[in-house]
Amino acid sequence: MSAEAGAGGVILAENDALMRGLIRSILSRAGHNVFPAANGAEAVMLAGGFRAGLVLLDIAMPRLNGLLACEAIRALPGYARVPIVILTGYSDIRLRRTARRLGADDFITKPFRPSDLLARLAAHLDQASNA
Amino acid sequence: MTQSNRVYRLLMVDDDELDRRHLVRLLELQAPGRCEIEHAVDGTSGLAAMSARNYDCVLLDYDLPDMSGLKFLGQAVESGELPCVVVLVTGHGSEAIAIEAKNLGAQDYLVKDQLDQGSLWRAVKQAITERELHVRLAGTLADLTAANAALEAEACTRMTVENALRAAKEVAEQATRDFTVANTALEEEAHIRTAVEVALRAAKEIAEQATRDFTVANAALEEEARIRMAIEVALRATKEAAEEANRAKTRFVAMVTHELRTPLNGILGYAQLLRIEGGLTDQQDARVDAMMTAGRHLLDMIERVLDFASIETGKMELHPVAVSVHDLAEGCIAFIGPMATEHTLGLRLASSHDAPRMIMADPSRLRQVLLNLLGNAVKYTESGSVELRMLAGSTPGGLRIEVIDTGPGISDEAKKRLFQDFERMEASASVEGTGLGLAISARIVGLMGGKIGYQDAPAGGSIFWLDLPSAEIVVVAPPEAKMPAHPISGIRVLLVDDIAMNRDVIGAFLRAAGHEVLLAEGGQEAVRLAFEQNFDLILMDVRMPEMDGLEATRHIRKLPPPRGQAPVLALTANSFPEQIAQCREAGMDGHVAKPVDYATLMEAIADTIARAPSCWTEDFPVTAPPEAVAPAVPRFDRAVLDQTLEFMWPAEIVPNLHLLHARQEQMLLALDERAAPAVLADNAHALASAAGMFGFAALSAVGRRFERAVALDLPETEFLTVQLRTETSVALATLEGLLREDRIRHA
Repeated sequence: MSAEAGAGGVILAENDALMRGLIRSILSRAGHNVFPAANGAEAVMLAGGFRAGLVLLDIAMPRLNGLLACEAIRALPGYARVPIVILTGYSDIRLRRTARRLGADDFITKPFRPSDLLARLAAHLDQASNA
Repeated sequence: MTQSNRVYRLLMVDDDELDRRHLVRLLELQAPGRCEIEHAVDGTSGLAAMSARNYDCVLLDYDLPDMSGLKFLGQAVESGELPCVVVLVTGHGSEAIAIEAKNLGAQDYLVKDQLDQGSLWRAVKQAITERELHVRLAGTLADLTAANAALEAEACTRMTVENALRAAKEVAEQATRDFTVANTALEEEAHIRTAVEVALRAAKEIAEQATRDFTVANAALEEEARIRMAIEVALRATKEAAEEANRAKTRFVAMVTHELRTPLNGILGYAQLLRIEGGLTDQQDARVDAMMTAGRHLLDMIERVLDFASIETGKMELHPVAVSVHDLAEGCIAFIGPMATEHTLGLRLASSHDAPRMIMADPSRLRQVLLNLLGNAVKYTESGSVELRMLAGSTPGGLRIEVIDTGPGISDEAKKRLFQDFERMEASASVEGTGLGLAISARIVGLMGGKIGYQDAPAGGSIFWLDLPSAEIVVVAPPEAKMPAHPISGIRVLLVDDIAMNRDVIGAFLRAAGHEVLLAEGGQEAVRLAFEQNFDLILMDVRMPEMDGLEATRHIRKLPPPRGQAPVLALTANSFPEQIAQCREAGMDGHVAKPVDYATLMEAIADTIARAPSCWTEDFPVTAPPEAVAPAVPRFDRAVLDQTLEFMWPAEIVPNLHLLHARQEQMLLALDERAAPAVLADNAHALASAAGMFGFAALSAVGRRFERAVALDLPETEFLTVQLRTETSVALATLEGLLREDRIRHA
């Protein structure tokens, strides 16, 4: 799949095991190196340990929700330009605005088409590597 | 010097006595009394004598019995006996011996045969003198060397001293220079120190001043905080009062407008009746027409005020379903068409090829916005044309809609207030309206997550645009072609409505169409009549006191067939999907929105009668209507499932489907156990996402709505619970079927 897919890897924070497994399967099959986290806190800790190529965050998660995790990760050294994508079941416009304000680059609602998700992630990775 | 009188001690080493006497006699003759001569007869004794005493001179014979004179010399040298003078005396003349003897330390060389009176003594004396001179010279040389060494040492010392002095001088000079530099640096430092001290003093003063200021400011801040708190408390109280007043006002507006609507529906109904029954003169017909137009306009304004009130109270909800963009646009054009023709304006629809074809949107609200924009464009444009353009939006999958007119455009001043409440164009005194249209439109578009805006058209006139975010959906199935229902007549209809005027108007409509009508004033009466008599159709108002239409229908559905199976058509105040779904859940077969329009009612009746038999042949429990809530959302979309599976690792497909199965069972269990709202919401949230990924579109949609309803404790929770249970059960069965499929099992 895309050449830069493997670089850096994708941190995937999703508390629902079914969705996490599903998304992980889709991403890894497309050539992404996936680092799964079961909540926002785990995602922030993962991000603190290395520089991921992209971060994918659910919103409704225990122990630090996705929006706060987004804000925290954005503030980590080296993460100023790493794409952060919110992937959530909620489509409320206020959540979208909040996500953008806290530094998210994209907002994708569940359910989604796998091809759409991959295309959006590829676009973000492209943009990040060209910047 | 007294040397000339000195007695020399000589050693004569010669084995020949005659020779010895000869030599002694020669010396006595030459220097009488000057020599004291000892004798050695061979080399060995000669050497012993030499080591025992010091001799001034040794007279050595070359030919000794035990060794040659040369060997004697060699041994004497080896044993260190040769500082004394040795004169070699021999009988044979030979230059080679002489040279060798000299090399070995002999002072002179004499030949016996050639000795005369003077030569021996001279040779002895000279040898001794030479020797002494030599020794003295050596001493002088040594002295000189010592003196020289002393001198050199002194020179060396002197040089060392000199060097040391020079070094000391340099050190001193360097020290002087360093001192100068150091002095300069010190001076500099002193300057800096002074400057720093001045700066520090200034800083200290500033800090002190700041502290003083801070204390003052702090006090001021505290004072301000207190004031602020007081203001906030007051504000909150005021705000609460204002909000309460606003809510009260909104409730009042809603109630009044609702109350206005019922009689107005009656007026419109009667007006329609006048025309249906016929027999009017042309003039009367025109007046009735005007009456209806005015009535519809009034109704429209009431609806808008109601809309506004519901937005204000946060009651307006969107009900997105899959909508065909083209159909929606055409519908709006068709609606506005007559008005445009009336104003002799052109009306066009243009669709860009890259505009989305299907979007998720609330069709009635989107239509409302478009009709408002198109209506305004037609109203304010005196000549020219109005165009509706469907374009690709600014976000992927988004939709942009533009309404372009050739009207007068909008002044800069007016632009600022365009989307505010109750704002109307100055030049619009002649144009009717509430001034709420754009404000409502803007709020609806805001609720949809989109944007609305205005720009001047390049050729004059106005462009109003909407930008709706990514809402494009894939067409899952072509919409079923709707069979045109044949108009029917002569059926037996039970009409249930608590308002007499409605019964009168709708009854008249039905009779005008040739149907037989029985009336019921409430739910209980309706159930009784339905039990006693056969009806081809029951028209049921939903909102009624005591027993409402839903409950009545549920009771009717429990009646034995065929009476319990009579098609029931709901009369609803609005056509929100929830309400329609509620009707279906209660067992109703369709709905007609109020105010009832004659043609619409007839079409709905025909449609219901046409569909009625098939409704009853399906083996579905009455509480689970055969159709999904929102017909546009398919219950299960195989294509979506296949696509998701295609992107997964094949080995992970079955485990994930089993997880989904477990999730569905968990949902059912939570519903059955009436779990806490938070648990139900969590379950539904997780299920909605996953179900949607695997193609269970209806379950996903219902799950989302249920999650929201149960979390906010909305009234529709109860209805959605039933719906969610149904959808989950159906999905579970579908999933079990999928898991048995070879293609899935062996993926």
